[in-house]
Amino acid sequence: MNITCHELGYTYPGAKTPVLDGLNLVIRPGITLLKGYSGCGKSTLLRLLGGLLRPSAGRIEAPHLPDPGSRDFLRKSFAMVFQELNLLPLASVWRNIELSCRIAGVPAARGREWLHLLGMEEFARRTVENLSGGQKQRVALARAMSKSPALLLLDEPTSGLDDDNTGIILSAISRFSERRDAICVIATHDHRIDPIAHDLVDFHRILPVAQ
Amino acid sequence: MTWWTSIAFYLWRNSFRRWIEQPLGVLGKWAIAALIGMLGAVMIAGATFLGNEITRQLASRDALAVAILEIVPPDQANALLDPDDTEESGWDGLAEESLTIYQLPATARIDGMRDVPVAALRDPERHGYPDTVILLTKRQPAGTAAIARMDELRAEALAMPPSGPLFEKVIASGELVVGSVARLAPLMQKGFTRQVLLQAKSLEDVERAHRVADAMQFVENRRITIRSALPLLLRLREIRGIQSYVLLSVTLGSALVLGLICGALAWMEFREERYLLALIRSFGVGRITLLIHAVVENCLVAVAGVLLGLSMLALAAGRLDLAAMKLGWISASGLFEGRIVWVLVLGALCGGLLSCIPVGIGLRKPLGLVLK
Repeated sequence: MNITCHELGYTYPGAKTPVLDGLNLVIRPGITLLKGYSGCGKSTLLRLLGGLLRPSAGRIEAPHLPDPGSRDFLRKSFAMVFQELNLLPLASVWRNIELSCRIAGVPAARGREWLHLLGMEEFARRTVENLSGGQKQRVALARAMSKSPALLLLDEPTSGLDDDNTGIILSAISRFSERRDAICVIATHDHRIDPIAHDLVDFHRILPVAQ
Repeated sequence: MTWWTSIAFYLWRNSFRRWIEQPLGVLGKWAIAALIGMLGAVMIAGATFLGNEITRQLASRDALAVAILEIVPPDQANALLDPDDTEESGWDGLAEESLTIYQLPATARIDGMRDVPVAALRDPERHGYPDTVILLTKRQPAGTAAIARMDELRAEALAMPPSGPLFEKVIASGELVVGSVARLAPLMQKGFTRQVLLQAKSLEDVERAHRVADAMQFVENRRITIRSALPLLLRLREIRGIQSYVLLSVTLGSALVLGLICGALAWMEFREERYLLALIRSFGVGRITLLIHAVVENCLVAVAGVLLGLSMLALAAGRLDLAAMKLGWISASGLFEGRIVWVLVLGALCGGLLSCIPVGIGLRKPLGLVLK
């Protein structure tokens, strides 16, 4: 049930130096935090784990999951909350969740449960443009979790949020990770998340400081 | 509703909202498609009209008329007067209609008043005339008699009208006294001019008649002159070939220009839309689904624009007096008939498809480089 990275490396197109180089890592079920200075490759690792980028070197092994990046993987096994949230514009909160559930082939009612848990049920009919930053963050999380993905990737899920919003989000993440096989990887600088984490990957220690 | 229809529904809703909120994009595409459609339609109409006109001219009676003149000296006269000679029937095979007349170097004095040229036919009955001396004329009532005097000969000539277009052409300048070759043989010993008038079925028949006449002239050393519009017809045929290429180029050119301009606009819109498309892809929706939407949207916009342009042109054609503006050929070319409309619609569809190339290229970009 683990995800293993072997000698993983990635260089962005046009860049001279790799952002990740020779990374060996085992990610176990539960909540794993990725911590490190800005630009150390946390978000890049999330994208590699989600198959949104192809590694320039090394490989990722997740025998219990479909091929990362494949349509089946994207549809059913993976969900990600991006830094910019990337909610569907011009659509309501409910439409954002329903569409994602339909594509994943899961009942949309599950989305309603997560909306309820995240305190967003009453905003279901609102278009996402009319929500605050914290509300958008919660909608993005509800959308990701309602798919019940085997791999949930969160990129700075609490950045810029007050303690109340952060508390709601952390309790939802904890609830999600109660599932035995679920893997949740969070790239963050926020120490408020530390208490719910099972593993911590400190990029300061495992990667040489970039030149 | 399946996930596919949900996505299609969302994308269309999104497109409509985009059109309403940023109308310049779609209006620009429509305007360009309409203008190119109008220009294309006028050019296709011009090329089609030209092609039809050339084809009509090539098939016209006047264009396919051939006249072969042969001066037969006295020493060759007997050979051509031989009743078993099959040359005349050989000419018949080349044409829809043919007429061979033997023009004598003599005239007949009619009723002691006027001189009329004399000609012989090998078989007058084949042309619907009795085997007697005939005065082909429009001046005198048919069936009346006239006295024709040729040298020492005196005959009663029966007035008859020309029996077909070729005879009309022969007597265009007046009248003609006609008798059978057998009857006029004594007068023909001094030599004569044989005139073969052919109404060819096609340009190829005219070319064949020229080849035969050339062979007679150069191989048999006969004094033959052939008159036809062959050089002009060959040039017209060449122009018709060029016109076909022009028609094809205009159609493809319209499609290409439409495609390139719509493509550029689609590319600009796609730069704004790529986050959305990448996001939907990150849900596991395939590139093909998104590309189909882009293809349908661009094709619809391009076709709607072209139809708009054609409608405006039709409206203008209905309101304006095109004939007075010397633009009658626009309506004469069948501009608004199905064929040209279909050609332009197909061109617009090609344009719509071409305009999806940048979207297709953009969809290949890794999701991780688009989504932040």
